[in-house]
Amino acid sequence: MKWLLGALLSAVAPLTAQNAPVSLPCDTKDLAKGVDAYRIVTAQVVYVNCDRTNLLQFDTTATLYLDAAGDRKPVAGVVASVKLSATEDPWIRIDMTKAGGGAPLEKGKDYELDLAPDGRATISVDVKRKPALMNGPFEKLTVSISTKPNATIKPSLVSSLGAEFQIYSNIALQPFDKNGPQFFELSALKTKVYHKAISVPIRTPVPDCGASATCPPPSPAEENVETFGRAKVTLMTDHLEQPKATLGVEGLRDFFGDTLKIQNEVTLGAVPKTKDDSTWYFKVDHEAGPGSLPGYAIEAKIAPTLGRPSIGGFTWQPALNMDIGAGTVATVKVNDTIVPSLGLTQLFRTESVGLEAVRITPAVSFETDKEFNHQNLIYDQEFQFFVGWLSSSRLVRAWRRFTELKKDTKNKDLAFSNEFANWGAGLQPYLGEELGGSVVAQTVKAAKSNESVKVPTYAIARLRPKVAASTEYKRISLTLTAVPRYLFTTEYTSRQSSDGKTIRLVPVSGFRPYGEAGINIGLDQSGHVALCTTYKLGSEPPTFQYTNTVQTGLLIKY
Amino acid sequence: MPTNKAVVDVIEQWSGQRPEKMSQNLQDWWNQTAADSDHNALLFKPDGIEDLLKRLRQAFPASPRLESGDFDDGGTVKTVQDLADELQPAATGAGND
Repeated sequence: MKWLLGALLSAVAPLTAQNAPVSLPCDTKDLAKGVDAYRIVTAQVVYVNCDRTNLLQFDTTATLYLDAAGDRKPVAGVVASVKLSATEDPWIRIDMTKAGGGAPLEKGKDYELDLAPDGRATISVDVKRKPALMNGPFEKLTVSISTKPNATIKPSLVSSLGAEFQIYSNIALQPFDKNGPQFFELSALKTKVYHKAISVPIRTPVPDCGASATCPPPSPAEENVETFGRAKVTLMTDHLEQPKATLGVEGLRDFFGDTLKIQNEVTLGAVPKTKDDSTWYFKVDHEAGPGSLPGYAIEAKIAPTLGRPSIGGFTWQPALNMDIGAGTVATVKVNDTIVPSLGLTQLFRTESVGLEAVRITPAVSFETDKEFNHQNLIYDQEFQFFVGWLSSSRLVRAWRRFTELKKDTKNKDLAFSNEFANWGAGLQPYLGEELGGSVVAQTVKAAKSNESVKVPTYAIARLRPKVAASTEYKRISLTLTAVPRYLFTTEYTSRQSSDGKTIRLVPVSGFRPYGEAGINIGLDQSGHVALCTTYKLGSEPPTFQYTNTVQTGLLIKY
Repeated sequence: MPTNKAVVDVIEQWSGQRPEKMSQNLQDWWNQTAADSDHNALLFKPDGIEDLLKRLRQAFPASPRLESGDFDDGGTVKTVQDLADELQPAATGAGND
């Protein structure tokens, strides 16, 4: 942050001279091992990524050295000037000329560039949307580059994972035929298995202009600098399914005419999982209730948001909500609900600090129970409200504390942790409506006799307000969910006697609240796995069986 | 073709603040800028990602279309720089067909 301090001092007192050299606002360290550290575009032009988003001017000189560190020697007769590629772009452009002509950079060699070798530079940065001139002198910055023909192959987006790959070279590519480069996979026996593929550049390649000639400069920066040296390879007939593979491409040449060596391990493990944004929840509970033998219950929710296709900005969201009892639960009534649904969902942000956003999720759902005694077809319209002042999560509090601590220069090496905050809390309101009806009249038999009852078809019109509240302290969280559902029509369900020998038809209407209170103890730092105890009280459709029970179990949530 | 500045502009509109570095992790930035902002109650996943995808589609309709899975642990987009890289469309009419 030395450069920022320099910029601020300059803004306050631009004429004040400084004696101690300040760092150039160019953070090459963070990107040195990545694919976007630098680009060599011709034998005269190099771009370096400074990682900054607020550069307005970056004028200085540079000195070119052959080899690195203690062995390096200045390249005789080379003069280099440095300019910013474009306003607020992280890339700086270094133009080199060699006395008497010829190419400053030669193929297959390692170089170093010293930026501001004499400590002089004209630097301007954006500080809170105002330009601030930085005063020198500046510390010399050494940047390593190489003209050796190495490149990296990486997987592409999840929509084309296993079929499309990206090539990143630090040296600009020469033009190539789309069928020219050969894509291969290294087998377990270390033999190359070739796959039919086509390759296209991300940006117009740079033609070879002769090794010793002065090449024309590349086009102005109307395109991103990092697109030099990039190509996309698409498999035509195959699709790689394995989690990891060693892949390579032959036949691509860099600007210097060398064949690029492209072979590295690529992780494709995300293929089955990330096609959908998996949101799921699974809970196995041990159950106890007043005067009953223990039993077991299972709760599951699966609601992946499918990325495509979308309709008017809404994305598909199939879901399965299940809350059923299993085993012996004696006289204790458990929820008996299975609701698969197909919906669309979209978040609408208001960009205000009160009501921050509303998520609208219309869906068609099918309500049933594990005996399949109810078959209700429902149009379910839900609104989820995000209110800023009702939320103060532990994560956001931890980040706020971390940001405050980082302001102190003593803490410059501090790393973020959730432990910076101990507690958090939140409350989220929902409003839903359920419209539809029972589509088939059912005859339901008693479990232990031949007695039966006919459940007629009926219309459904329900209002479903809901509030979900939570408080977390370290790894312990308390949750409370209240659903004061109101039934505007009369629905029907069946009830068995406790001995299972008699059965009767029961009308259900009016106020039918349901609530849950739980305590979860996280077993991992991220909170994906937790021990939980939940108290459930009230009734839920379609059976509206009154529940008054405590369940203890393991919760897995992603 | 989206410039780095244009991508950072979208991140600024999305999060309410302009990141200083291209290597800034997007999830960390969302959480770091949440306090006292207009997204205090919104989680990065799924809400923040969904909103960012919508903004990217509007700002760069010709770019490759990202999905929420691209921001997952197994995806390729972690930082602002990753995002700028993935949004670059392949050159049309380039190469020797």
